[in-house]
Amino acid sequence: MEQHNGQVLFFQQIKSLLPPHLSVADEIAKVLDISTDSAYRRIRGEKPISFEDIQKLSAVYKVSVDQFLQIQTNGFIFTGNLGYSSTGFVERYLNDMLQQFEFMRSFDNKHIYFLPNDIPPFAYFQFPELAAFTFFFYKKSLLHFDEMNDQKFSVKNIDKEHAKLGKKVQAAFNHIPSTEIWGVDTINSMLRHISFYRDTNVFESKEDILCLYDKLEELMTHLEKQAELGLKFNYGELPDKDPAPYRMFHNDLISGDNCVLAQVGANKLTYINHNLINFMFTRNEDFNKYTFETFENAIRKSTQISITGEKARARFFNRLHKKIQAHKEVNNHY
Amino acid sequence: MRGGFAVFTKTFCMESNNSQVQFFQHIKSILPENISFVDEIAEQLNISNDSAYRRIRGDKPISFEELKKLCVQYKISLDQLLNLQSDSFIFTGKLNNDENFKLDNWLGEVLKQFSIIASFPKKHIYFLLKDLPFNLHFQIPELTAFKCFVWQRSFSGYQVEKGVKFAFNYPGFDVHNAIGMKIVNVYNTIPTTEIWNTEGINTTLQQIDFYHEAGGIISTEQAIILFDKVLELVNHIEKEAELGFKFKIGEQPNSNSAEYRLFNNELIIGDNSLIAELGDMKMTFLNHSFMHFVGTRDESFNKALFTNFNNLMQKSTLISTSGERDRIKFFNRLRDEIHRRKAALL
Repeated sequence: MEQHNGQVLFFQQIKSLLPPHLSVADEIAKVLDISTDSAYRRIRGEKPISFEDIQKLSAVYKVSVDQFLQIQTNGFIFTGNLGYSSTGFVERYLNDMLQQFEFMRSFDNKHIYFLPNDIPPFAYFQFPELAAFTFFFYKKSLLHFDEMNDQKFSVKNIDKEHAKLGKKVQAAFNHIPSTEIWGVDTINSMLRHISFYRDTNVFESKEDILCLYDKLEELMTHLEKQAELGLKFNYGELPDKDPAPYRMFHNDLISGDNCVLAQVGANKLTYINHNLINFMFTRNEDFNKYTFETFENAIRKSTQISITGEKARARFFNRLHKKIQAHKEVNNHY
Repeated sequence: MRGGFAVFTKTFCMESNNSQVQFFQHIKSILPENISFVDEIAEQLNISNDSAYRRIRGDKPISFEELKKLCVQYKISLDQLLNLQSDSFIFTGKLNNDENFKLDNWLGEVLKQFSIIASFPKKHIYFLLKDLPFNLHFQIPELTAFKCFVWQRSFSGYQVEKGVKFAFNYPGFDVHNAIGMKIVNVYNTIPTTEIWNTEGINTTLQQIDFYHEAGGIISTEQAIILFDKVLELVNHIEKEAELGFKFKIGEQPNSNSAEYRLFNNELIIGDNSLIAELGDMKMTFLNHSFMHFVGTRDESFNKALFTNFNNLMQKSTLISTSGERDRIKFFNRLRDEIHRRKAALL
């Protein structure tokens, strides 16, 4: 039995990565295309698994075998998408995100730490106008889809199904406790996108631009309310019976990088933003431990503006509102 | 980046019908010819030659413990073997989670990576930036001192002594400055294309403001010097952009100077990612945890990033060598921002 001790531990690691309601034997049986009994024999270490089995399992569950076998390398496995095709892009993007949040939600112990470089989209899926604008920007200016070449943006063209799906993502996100470190520059990207599209005549009308600024202000007001109460809830509603805690910090010293650290059960995951739109994640324990320490260090240098710090909170959000107002002014004279 | 663990090629994995057999074939290929392969495996796993044969032929699966022994002995990364066909990418990089890791080590690592890139006859760096390229600060000792002061504080294990104020000539500065100058020398030999916009200087300016406002860790006089030095750096970058070459402050480009291309993209704020062209190969470095980078040689990953970089270049305004009007406008906006912040101090 001692010979297959490592195998038992390998399956234990996979078990810890599964949502609690799933049976590890059923999952393994499915992946290896064997009976549940055979899966049990392997899980208990009674029957050795083959090289191909290790390969299948490590690929499906993104387990680092080097890390598990304690083979010392400087390598980290990251997993993620490299690109999107134009067909069904928004649905796929939202469904991928929904799947990730639903997975995190299924654990009792969960938390998302976020260091945004720009406003996280999952903070404003409850504002369909802002969500639609962001997807327009992704498709036109980041993914360079051909069909977007002559397209103009208008809030009149919001896709109802996308808006519905976005709100579902938002609802899932709102059930996960989170800690975010913002700076006054966090809203710069969105403001820059709006003014660039205005200057290059991409909006259908001036009203579309004004609508986006208004929605951005509403979003800031909502985030301020969330910070004040220290709770997450949907826009226009009150916190429900079991709201997720919301911690917000202000830091202008650190420039955000859109890095996300997720606590999922006993494990952590780090998501790194790449190619401006994609995220890739790693389960590497060393890497995640380091990211977590980096967050803790950043938090120590930041001002808490949720629940406490009323003055600092008011000052921070006033600065954001002022920035939006300044852009609105420019737009009025455009 | 070079050497280290054995790398399996994609072909290796895709053609393999029996990964265990291929795994042993790989070990055989890296053993010296005078060593009997079967004897070697039998000895390493402490089994008979017959048992070794059964494993090599794939008749008997090897256990986890045996795998570990062989991987450690022959420095084989199973992750590289097992994950090349999936949607996963291997990144490498160092984390400074060792208590003894100091800024000197980090600077030394930066120098090492740039030196490797510089060692290739055909080389190019593509930088998609949200901040000024961190290495540009090393051209001016005062900025080196300040950035090292800031970076050091971002190390998770770094303990700040209470009441310590910023000094241009802090203990250890000479070492940091010397490595910084070496980085400048090496970096200036690598042709570079950068995409950024006028927000690129915000982080450094905000850091100066922050430490000035935070209980006067930086005095007003020091903050003024730093703003002036950022101005000097910006003026130099403008000169480099105008001439299309990289060279040190106070010098002129010569016939060996590396090409410098600068694009302004008003729409997009970058993410400090870097694509390095090394001969016919590419490598991507992604920024994480403020000042660290992880790199990958994954072909599909690098191809996707490079395609995106090219798309962004097409949508950006070239402000080096040509585009004088746009260049002047761009650098004037940077100077205006520095003057605005400096005036707020006075």
